[in-house]
Amino acid sequence: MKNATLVQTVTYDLTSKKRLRVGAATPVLNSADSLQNMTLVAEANTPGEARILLNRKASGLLDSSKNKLLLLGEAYAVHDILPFLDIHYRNPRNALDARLAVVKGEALPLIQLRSKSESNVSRYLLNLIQSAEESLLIPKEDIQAIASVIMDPGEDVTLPYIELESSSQLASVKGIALFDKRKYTGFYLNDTQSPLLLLLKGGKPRQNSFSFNFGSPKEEFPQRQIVSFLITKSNRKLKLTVDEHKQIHVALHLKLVLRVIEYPNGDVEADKDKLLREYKAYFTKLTGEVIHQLQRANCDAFGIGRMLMAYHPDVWRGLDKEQYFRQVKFSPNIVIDKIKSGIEH
Amino acid sequence: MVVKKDNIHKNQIVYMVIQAQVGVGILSLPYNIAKYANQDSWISTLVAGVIMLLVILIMWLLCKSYPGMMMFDIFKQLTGNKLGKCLIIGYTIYFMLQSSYVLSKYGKIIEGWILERTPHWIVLSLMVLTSAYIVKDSLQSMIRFFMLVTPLLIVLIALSSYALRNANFLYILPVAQNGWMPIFKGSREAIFSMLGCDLVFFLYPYVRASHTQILKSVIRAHLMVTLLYTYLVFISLVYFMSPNDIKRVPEPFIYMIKSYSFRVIERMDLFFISIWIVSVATSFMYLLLLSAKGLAHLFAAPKHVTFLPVICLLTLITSLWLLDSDKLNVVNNYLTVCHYLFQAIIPALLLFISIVRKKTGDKREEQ
Repeated sequence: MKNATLVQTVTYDLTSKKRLRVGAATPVLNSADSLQNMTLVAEANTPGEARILLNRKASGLLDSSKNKLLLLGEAYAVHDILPFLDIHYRNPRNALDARLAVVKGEALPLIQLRSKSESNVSRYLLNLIQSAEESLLIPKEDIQAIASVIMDPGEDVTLPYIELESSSQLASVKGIALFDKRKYTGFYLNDTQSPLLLLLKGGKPRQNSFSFNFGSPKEEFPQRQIVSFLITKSNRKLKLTVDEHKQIHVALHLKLVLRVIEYPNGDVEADKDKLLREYKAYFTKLTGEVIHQLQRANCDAFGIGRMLMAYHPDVWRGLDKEQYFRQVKFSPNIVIDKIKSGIEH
Repeated sequence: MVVKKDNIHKNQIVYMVIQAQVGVGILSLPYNIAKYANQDSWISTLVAGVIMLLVILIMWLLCKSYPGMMMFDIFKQLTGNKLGKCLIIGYTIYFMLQSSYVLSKYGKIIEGWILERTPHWIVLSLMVLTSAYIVKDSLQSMIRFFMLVTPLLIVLIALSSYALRNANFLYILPVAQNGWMPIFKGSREAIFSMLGCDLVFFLYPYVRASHTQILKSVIRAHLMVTLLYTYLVFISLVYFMSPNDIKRVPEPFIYMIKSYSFRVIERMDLFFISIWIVSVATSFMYLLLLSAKGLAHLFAAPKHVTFLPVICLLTLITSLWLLDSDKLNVVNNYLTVCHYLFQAIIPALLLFISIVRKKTGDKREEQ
């Protein structure tokens, strides 16, 4: 135990020769140097094999019980991700609450970056993900939580989508990576669409701010027409109906309470009717985008299939289990309940 | 023969039954039932509870008609000395086999989840020694121990309930989709985790309470255990997706709890297992006690303690052999037959004989 080398973050990438490249970030203790972690890399066929190879490179015995983050490179995630998660499920010492994320491009460079704010890269990345979870930008998913969803034919997984901004040596959360069954589809939701998806799934808003331009571009300073606001409350109702032609309809009602945080143009109270209209149009359009993107990816993030199984088992039996989600007709209805103007009118 | 410190108060019956019933099987209960009944497993536990009620009634009626007699004495009374002795031997072997199974199952889980490299004999001997230490004294001290550890079950329930945070209640719908046959098959598995009421009936003369009071207490305890099982199975059903996900892990409870970590206790599962060990110990103790009592009756010895070392050693060796040769499943198959035989068929037959005897006896008196 004393000589153990802790693994805090693991990355999986697929090389051009279809082999698995595993990276492991291990913290280096009691060093005065600013770089406080070391990256071990191994190429192998499976994670288990890679572990054996990594063990030879590590100074102590590898201990994965503190592995709290698993980063999947894009090329790796587009294949079935479940078989190689087996090693995480099987070993009783592994942490099942490890977070998972898909990385744009390769995952390995992410654990090699040197962050100025936090010398331990694993902690830096984990904090990045957890704060994005806190502000309802990405779903809170861990290795154990996705297991049920990924095996469920009636629901699909969504995972955080992260990018390395190589110029600034920073990682940033891009949005949500959309999965179809066990594979990443290549489609993702951007940072404005992602919170909306989570709200549409019934999540409670936290620090979700949006901004958009609703003035006419002809004006001298169109930038001054931009309004920024925060969603303070949200209430979602989802209603699933199947009509006589076996067409599945999903009515999505979303009621929002907003608070304006910036309105350079002046009087919120006076422009309230106009704002309400514009907000409704904005969110209806955004919802349309989210649903369109989900259907393109064939990612049943709402678990419509699961609901069909539960409430309309006969309909589900006769359905094409692979493509059913694309046939679902969504009718979103966004209601802006209140606009709060802050302390200024 | 009944010493005062061996008396059992009527309020203690509830604890006795609960602790004897809840045991090693609880961890794999949802997995075992879901193999057959999938998302309807929670109905299976309820059905099993009702079936078990019949077993309780049979045993109670049998004990009631021979007040003041131990179960082993009733055997002799009803079937004659020779056959009665055979029955006692049969029951003793059954209890010993069951305790070896409990012990080796315990060893297997401990090996898989916590102590991967510790030799089996250390883990198992510790369990046998602690249990024997409590069983060797008076009945009263064992039952007081049962009472003492019962609140731990609340912790167990609370820990499992925490998993409801990630529950998806749609997983149990639609109810009874595949008909009732799978549910009944699943309930067969659930019954095996509900065995343990026999403890009260084998110690019937020690209980200071009227017949109806005893029955009421046993049924009350049995009801609590049934509801507890149903609740626990329900939790794991809404947590794991049936049928694929729940069939992945044989011990769904530990798995469920392992995925949570708190600031103070990072591995909740270790905490959970430590509490579960106590439940295993209590069921193991009752099996030890009954096997020792059986041998004592066979040789007409006044104290069961005399035979405790032999039984402990035999159980330990058997369970070690079972573990090392990986024969747990084989033994479980034999045990299944034994459960039917010793818990239901033999008591029912004996009850039948006793009713027939009573009737013919009454007729003789009339003549």
